[in-house]
Amino acid sequence: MRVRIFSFLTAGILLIACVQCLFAAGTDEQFKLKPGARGNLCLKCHNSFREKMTQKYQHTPLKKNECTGCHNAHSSAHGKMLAVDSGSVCSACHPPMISKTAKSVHKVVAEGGCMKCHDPHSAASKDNLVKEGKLLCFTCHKALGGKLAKVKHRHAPVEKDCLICHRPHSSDNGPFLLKNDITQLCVSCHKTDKPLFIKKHMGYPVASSRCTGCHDPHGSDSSGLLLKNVHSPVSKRMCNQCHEESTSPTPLNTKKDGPALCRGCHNEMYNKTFDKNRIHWPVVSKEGCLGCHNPHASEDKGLLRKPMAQLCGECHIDTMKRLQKNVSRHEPVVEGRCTECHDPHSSNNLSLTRKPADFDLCTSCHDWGQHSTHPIGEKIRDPRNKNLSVGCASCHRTHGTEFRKMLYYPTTTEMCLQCHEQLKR
Amino acid sequence: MMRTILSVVCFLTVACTFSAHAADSVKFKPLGGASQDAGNIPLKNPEGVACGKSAILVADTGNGRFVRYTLANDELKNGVAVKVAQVSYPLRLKAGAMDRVLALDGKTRKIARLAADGSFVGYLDYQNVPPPVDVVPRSMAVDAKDNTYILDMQGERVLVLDPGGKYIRHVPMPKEYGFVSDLAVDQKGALFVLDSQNARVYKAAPDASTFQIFASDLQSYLNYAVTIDIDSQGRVYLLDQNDSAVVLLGPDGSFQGRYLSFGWKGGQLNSPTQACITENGTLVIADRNNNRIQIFKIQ
Repeated sequence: MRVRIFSFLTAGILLIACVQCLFAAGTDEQFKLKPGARGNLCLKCHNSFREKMTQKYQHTPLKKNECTGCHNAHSSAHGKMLAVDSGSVCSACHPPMISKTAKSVHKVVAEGGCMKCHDPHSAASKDNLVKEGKLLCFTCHKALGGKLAKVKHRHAPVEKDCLICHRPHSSDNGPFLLKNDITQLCVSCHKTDKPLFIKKHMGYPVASSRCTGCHDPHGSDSSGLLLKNVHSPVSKRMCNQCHEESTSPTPLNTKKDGPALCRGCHNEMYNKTFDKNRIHWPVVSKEGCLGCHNPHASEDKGLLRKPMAQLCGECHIDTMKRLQKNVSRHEPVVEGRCTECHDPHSSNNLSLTRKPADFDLCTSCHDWGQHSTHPIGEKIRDPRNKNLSVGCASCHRTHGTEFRKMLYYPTTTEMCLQCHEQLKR
Repeated sequence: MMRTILSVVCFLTVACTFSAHAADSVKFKPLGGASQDAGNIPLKNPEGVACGKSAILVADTGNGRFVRYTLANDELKNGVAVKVAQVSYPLRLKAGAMDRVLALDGKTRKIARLAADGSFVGYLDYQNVPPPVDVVPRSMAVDAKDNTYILDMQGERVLVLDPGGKYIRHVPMPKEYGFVSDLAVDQKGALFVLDSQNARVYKAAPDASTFQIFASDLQSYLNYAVTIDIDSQGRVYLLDQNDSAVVLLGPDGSFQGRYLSFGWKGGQLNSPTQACITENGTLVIADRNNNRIQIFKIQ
């Protein structure tokens, strides 16, 4: 019994000692540190840091000359001899930047990439930001920065600072890190009861509509910051072509439901679509045309709701997943030009291809069919399956494969030997 | 006490071994198939297949016709070609009572009733259906009472109709569904739908008004399944069109195995589009891109 109590007490004392060490509660005296060992001494070697210490905004540990606030002076398993990994070193002092009720989160914050925006030592910008305002954002959001440099009209807040509309870490109130829900955010500046606003919107009560259905919140070549592609009735300000009159009790209701409304103008396309053997099933779903198209405006050609690859990939998840694994990929697939080979509405061909697969379809881009090739065509039977003729897809998979040249097998030899078995050695 | 614990452990070990063996023991033995009709005209992209009591009806989609085979001694024989003017592009078939077959036409998107010999009886007429009345069928199934189940794209629901086509009830699609490609009814009358997009199967008990998840997280086993069939033992067969395979689920929705693979040779599949199971448990598959029908004995 005594031995047990003794062991228990010893273990307790050791545990307390370890905890004390871990939390470095020791004083400089206890550690027998030289004066300035927590920071000033470091500058003897890290001389270039003196310049950093003259910057306007300094990180508190640096201000206090405490390099050991973040770095381990002796050894570390992490880069830059950080005491913990760079993704969590900041959270040792700073509270979590992502709210538990966040509706949207900045990806870089979620990944612990604080130092992509903040300089951990010092900076010329407030909050130790590595660059000022929008310039910082455009370091990553290059496409947006590039677009805004070219467009004729820019949204006024964009000219000043992205943080007028967005939060930098996470937002409890809106998507895309917006400070509020899209419409509420817009109407906080754009007063919907002003005569000009009412006139521009043809008297329709759009105060609770989603503004980004027509407008680009950052910038555009059109003065009304409209999206790149505008549905003809919208650009002609003929809202009543689809909607009830603005004076009606239900002005935002459409005159007809679903595809019947679209058919009014797109009759020829509608008839062609429904006259084919195979329909793309979403066309006849409840959402109909609006499953893929935005009825007002879009950044994408054909008034697509999203860029084509994203839009098609929403349903064809497996195709997109396979694509990521593939070593060789068909160029139109990579570039999201699905409709180059497929008709998105209907077709008389398998897989809704524009031309019968595969020879006719492939040779519309590839001219190999016009000079000598491996024998292909209706008369050449596939030795693996006499029911099939030899075509492009006998050796190549149309979207791509895990092997080069979109072949089904790792090597050309293996591919050829599938049929030419007599040549196997 | 110790003896009881040991007995339970022994029992569980034996039971687990047997159940594991049962899962592993299913085998798909290829029995051949058919790639042409009796007049030696080759099948072209056959997409549909229905297992009737006396015959196997094939939707020879690329040729815009039907071919009626008899299955005898594990072989498909005869192969009588039938042209039906009202169904110019047959996509999917389902066997009904008295050897009748329902055929979905791609061109008109109507469901035709065919007699045992493949001749046209009439289009399925949807009577007293609540709005939306423009029913767009994606697939169909028939239960033991000859009631018809229609997967209605427009109404986002499964319509249940009596043998005369009169509306009985409907089951709305589950809230979180992606894209449903097919449905099936088991021998007890439970309804199953296949969510191809999310690789999930939902089930509605007989007379239930909502679907519940039957099998989920099938993404690891499936690329894009397009049809669902249930055998007399309650096992569920999912046909993976985009990765050319069959995935088998147990009557409880558990994954039992993935069978067959992509290829051109006998026993391999290339974009299979529909399967059916005969009364004696033979699996018949419309192997579309291989231009043939294949049959497999499930052992």
